[in-house]
Amino acid sequence: MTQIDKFKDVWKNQEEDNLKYSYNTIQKMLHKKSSSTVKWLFYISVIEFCFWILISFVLDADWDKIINLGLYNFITILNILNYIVIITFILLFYRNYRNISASSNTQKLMKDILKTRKTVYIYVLYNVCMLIFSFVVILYFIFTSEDFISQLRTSSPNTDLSVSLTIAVIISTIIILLVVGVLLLFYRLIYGILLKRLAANYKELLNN
Amino acid sequence: MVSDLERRFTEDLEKNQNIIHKVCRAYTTSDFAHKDLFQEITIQLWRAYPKFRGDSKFSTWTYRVALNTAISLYRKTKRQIVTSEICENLNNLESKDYDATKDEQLELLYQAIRQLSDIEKALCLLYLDDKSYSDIAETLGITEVNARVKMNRAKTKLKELLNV
Repeated sequence: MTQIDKFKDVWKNQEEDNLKYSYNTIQKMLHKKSSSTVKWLFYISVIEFCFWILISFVLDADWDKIINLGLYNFITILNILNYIVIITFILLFYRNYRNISASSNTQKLMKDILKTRKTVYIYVLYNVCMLIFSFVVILYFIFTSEDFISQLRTSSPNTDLSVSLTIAVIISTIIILLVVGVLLLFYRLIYGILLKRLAANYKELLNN
Repeated sequence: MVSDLERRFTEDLEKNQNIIHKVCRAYTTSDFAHKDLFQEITIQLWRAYPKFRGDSKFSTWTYRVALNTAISLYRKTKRQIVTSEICENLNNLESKDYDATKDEQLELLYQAIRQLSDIEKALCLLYLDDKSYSDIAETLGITEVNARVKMNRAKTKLKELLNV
């Protein structure tokens, strides 16, 4: 008998009498709340969906200004597109979430969890891209509108118009980039904390 | 009011709980974390139970869900391993230590397993429980060839940690 076999023997004959839970203890456990990564993933994803839906409500609040800028059609199409995308993503997310089963094989379980997270991540990326795109289009219309240019001329009469516009564009770009940067960092941090170990395990499992 | 399903499940789990304790002992380092993981595994088993059709034995199915929970679903609290203590114990392990009690040997085995990665832990547990390569491949969702390669690596690592 090799030494490892002796350990194997000890393993097989291990007694867990000191670690036995009673029927009642086990039954109570059935009704406790889970604190698994999947549950957290679900909560965070729902918050994300709600956040972006709320953002879209906040952003399309001032219709008078939008109509004045000639952006009515653009914003309407964008809103319709957004709702279609949101519904599609919620359905995809729900389908992927429902596929997660603790009794699947380990590789499939990990893959399903990461797939669900990826759906939400793509949704977030889509929203960030839409945010940038909408800002760029809206800012273009604002900066080229007569109202804005005349306001600029009145507020700084001694400054060249092109210089003032360039400064306005640079400031807006910096603000957009900062907002996007903070958002992406926030997501990376949340998912990093939540799924870093799982992603590493998945990689290890697939590697030869 | 306890349903028949709940009663049957709790009875089955009570009989097979040693499987979960083994997994908990390998993946956690404190009594608190052990109970926490046991509870999470129990919750996952109970949720999956309505879909358990008895294609495999209850014990095999429990083993799979327990490993899955430990590897992929359990959110660890601060997982502090007193590494120096473990290394000291493992370094003292020479052939003469086989005179030590079974409990001590078992604890040394667990200490060695706890030093492995999550996947290696699963492989070693399945190896110690004499599961076939096809069972291991099926449980982990990898090919049998990959299971063999990984198992050899994990076994070598375990032997090194145990100084055998």
